[in-house]
Amino acid sequence: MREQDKTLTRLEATAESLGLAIPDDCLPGVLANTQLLQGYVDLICGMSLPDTCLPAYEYQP
Amino acid sequence: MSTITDHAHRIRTGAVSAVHTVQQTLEAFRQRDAAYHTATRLLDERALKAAADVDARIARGDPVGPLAGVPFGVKDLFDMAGLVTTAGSVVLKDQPPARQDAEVVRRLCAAGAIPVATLNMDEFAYGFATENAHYGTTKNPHDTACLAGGSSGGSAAAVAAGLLPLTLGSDTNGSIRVPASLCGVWGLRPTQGALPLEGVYPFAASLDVVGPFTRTSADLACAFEALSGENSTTVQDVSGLKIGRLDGWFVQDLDPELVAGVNRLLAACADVRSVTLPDVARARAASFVITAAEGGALHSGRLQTQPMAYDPATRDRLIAGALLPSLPVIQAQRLRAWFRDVLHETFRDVDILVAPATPGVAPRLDQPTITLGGRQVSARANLGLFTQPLSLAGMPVVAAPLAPAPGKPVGLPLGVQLIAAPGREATVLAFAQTMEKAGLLGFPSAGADARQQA
Repeated sequence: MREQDKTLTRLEATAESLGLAIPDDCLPGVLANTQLLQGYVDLICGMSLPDTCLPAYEYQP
Repeated sequence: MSTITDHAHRIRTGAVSAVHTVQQTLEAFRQRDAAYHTATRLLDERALKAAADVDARIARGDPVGPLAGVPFGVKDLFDMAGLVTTAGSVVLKDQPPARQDAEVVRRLCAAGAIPVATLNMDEFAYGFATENAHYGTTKNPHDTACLAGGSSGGSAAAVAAGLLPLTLGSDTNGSIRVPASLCGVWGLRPTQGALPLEGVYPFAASLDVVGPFTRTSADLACAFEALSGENSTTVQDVSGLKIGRLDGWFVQDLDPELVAGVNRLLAACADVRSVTLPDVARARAASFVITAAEGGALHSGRLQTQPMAYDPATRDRLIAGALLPSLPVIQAQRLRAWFRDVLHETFRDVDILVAPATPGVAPRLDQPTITLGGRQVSARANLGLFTQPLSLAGMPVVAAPLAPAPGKPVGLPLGVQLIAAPGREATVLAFAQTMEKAGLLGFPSAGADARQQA
């Protein structure tokens, strides 16, 4: 299975699990953006952070 | 177009009435804005009524505020009482009108300023171009064949064109700093949380900030003082400030004129050192992922019921964001905490960091790309190369136009980011004013040029 087909299968499964539908007309654009985001996800998840580094939801300088 | 201070002084002293000022401003939009397409709505009735009120208060000897009669415009995502807040989309057109102004609009009005227009933007603030499928493309007043930048493109271009001395925009990933840079005006992304977001349509809530655009750094300080209530206009001595020049990530693919302009600026500073921030590519990636996920989650319901009402470019990015799993989003927020600590530590050794705002001048409308690593990539998605990582940290950033190179023809504007520690807006604004007075920062208004040539 090609990488693009794998991404598409995964996207449709995720959408279904969330009760979302991806209109057919949007699929190529959504797929392209997902592949772009995957590059950023790989960068983020490739970084090791200490367990004590908490998510930065608030900022009170 | 005179400065905010000039405007308010002339009105307070009776040299000109607020009503006349507003009438002139509205007329200027009608005569000149077709070339730039900055405004989406003119607020004649409200503006003239507010102006008459300012004139009446002056006649009675009542206080009128530091921005008395100063006309301003707002990006189309600020609530304005009685108007539907479109956020640059038709998706919200059936929503009820706002019942009251956004808090920051109220603060400017309380200082005497008068809203006269709502201004164009990328749909839901998702872009760096202000190419809007519903409301049209805002053009760069310095060259109408070029992008104004976005997403607050209407706000930046209205100031650059000399149509308004003051506008409001929002900045999630660079939406104040990118258009300010491409249009040659001043912009401020304040410290995260310094200004209230009440009545501002959200994009990526944990990154969103609002701030002003002006023609001069003194006006920027004046506007921030009115917005925040903090003294920002008393210029401090900046001669002892330690300046850090960001290198590494922030020196890639730069226009040689931009490098020369930064060199001229830093040659005027006594204490300059190079600063390398670690993992900037990951910080930018985190900003991308947080934006996509928060934006996607916000719109997920409407994307099910009316996806085709969205601008296709916005819609497909939002859907992709809504489908991101939680792991990278939470990891991105953890990386954000780490990166903030890095910046906090950096500001133990320096007072101000200097970095480019964009890699070069405004791209052409018919070729909306920039060169990164030898490849042509989309300007709409990549003009925030240098602004996105800094959004993640939440520090205050002034977008400052570099002064044209001495002895050369004036080309298109280039801009830098002046970054300070959290809450240090007054310091970075003082530095900006000192450098503008030295002739190293500040760019001529396109509107003024056009009028002088006419």
